[in-house]
Amino acid sequence: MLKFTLRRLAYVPVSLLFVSAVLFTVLRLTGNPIDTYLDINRTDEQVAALTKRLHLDQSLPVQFLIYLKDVLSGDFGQSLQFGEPAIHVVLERAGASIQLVTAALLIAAIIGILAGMACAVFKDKLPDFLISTLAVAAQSMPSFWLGILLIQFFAVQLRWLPTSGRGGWENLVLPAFTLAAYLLPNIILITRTSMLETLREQFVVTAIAKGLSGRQVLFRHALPNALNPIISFIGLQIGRLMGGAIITETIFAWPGIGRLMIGSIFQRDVPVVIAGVLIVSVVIVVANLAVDILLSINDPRIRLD
Amino acid sequence: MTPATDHELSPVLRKQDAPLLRVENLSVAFHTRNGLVRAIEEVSFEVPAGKVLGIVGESGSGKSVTALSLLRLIPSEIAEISSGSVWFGGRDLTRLSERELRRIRGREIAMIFQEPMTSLNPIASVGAQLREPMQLHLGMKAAEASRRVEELLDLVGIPQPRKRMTQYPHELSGGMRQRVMIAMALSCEPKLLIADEPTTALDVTTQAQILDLLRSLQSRLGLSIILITHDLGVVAQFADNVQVMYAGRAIEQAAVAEIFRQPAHPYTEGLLKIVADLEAECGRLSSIEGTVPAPHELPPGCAFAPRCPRSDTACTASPPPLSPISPGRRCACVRPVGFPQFRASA
Repeated sequence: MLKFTLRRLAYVPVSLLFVSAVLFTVLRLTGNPIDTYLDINRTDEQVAALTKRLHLDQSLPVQFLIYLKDVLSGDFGQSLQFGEPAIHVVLERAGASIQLVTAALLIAAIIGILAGMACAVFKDKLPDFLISTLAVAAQSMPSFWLGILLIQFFAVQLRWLPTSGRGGWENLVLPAFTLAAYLLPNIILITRTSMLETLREQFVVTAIAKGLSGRQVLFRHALPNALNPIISFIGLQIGRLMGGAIITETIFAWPGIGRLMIGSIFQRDVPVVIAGVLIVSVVIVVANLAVDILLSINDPRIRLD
Repeated sequence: MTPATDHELSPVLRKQDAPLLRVENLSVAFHTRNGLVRAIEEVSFEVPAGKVLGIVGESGSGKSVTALSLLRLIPSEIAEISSGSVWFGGRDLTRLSERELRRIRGREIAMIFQEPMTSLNPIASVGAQLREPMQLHLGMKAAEASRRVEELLDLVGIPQPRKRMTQYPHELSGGMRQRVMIAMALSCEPKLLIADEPTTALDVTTQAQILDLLRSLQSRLGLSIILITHDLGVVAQFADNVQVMYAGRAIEQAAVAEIFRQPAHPYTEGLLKIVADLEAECGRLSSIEGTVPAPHELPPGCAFAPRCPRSDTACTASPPPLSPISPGRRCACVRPVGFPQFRASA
């Protein structure tokens, strides 16, 4: 188990080095950085100063090494919009995103797995039909619309929860549920399929023949065996949602990294974009590592490969 | 085990002491697109305490359905017990609530299956799976159950039990896994063990070891066993009594020695002939022409009649009932082999 974890850990720096290299290449491919940083009314002194600061007078390999050194020390330069170090801006927003995504994934996983199990147990009966129908309806409901409906009902009419912004847990509820609703249908369907497959296995009959109750068979024997595709799916979503929950972030004025990135791209705030891409990459790589470790804890056969 | 004297006291007719398990007219039907289809029909048998009943038949004869139905292990949306009773300890298992039945499963009646490769939970350790029935039924704490698991693994001939407990099923061979299944089945000291083709998926040497193990445990623990198999050789070695099944019906019941001396049903005779040919290693194997009819296309009369060398018009009217032909023997045939004096009133 320890050996497995260490081997997987070794991939982390390799992945991050690869991401850094791609990022550097893309930045240099998209044109002269001077044009990105400075507008049309620039002076020659400004150009000379920036050239020196960005080491553009050096050869590309040297530039890459300097860039790597900066990345490793967390120095991405000053944000052009905020006038503070880009890494500070990004880390603060990344924290908000991680909070939102974690809450949404937890909600979606708990509800989705339970609902998916109910579908599998009552296959082709009323609960299966109802849950599947609701799942399809939820999937076809866009986030911006669901978000607005939730705000209208829980914040404006009932006044239970704030409409937007970030603060205590009550600010988190509505955006987290909105984001969870987007994930829920997939988790339900994956759980349903995986459970149906597992329930046909011979060891389920063995478990019943031992004298276990239906619930014990489901939760002790069937669910752990059906869990792997669900864990993998949830792991993939962390990456997608970290930078991609822009609609939800916008509706609820949630200061997440997705909105920051979009804004920074339009503002040509290159240091923030670089820092943002790298931080999102770190989160994705760490999430994948966590998924691998979780899978191997759940299923001892995975440790062997 | 001396089958010759067993015959005189044949359990089938020995009414004075109640058998451990008595199955009466059990019928099971599967739900299919074309409605209900009978998988087993009016099957009756008894298992006396401490004895081994072998149930023999080809694939599709209903022997596994019989075994699974005793503990109601076929989900109700797939099949239902349409009639009959399963008497065990004064209770009819077909009428117990699910909760009452759970107290019998694994504790008083345990079961092992054909596929040791898939019968164990692949992601739970051997120790955890073995502890589970004892924690459930006997209220043991984990530490106490672990000590008992060690004893059980030792009992079923698994070396280094402490190490094996921490391993997972994929780290064990097929024979080892079947030993683990046996240890699990015996953990709560059940009165009856149902073994559904326990050696079919194993190679020949392992088969012999598992059978030896089952036999020694049976005599040491005074266990009753229902052994489902398609292998007459296994029955000959191991069982006290035999029930032969064909197309969902019991067609012959007898003590083992009797059936091998003189099979009564033409189907049993055909099966034994194949075994005899195999043992004599003569050039050509005999076979029974044709195949077992599917449950939804059974003929109106005896299901074996279309393949039977002795069949005549009397066989096609209605299925012959399982009737006594001599003390301790029953046969469902209007013209049983070697019993010319007997003519069923079918």
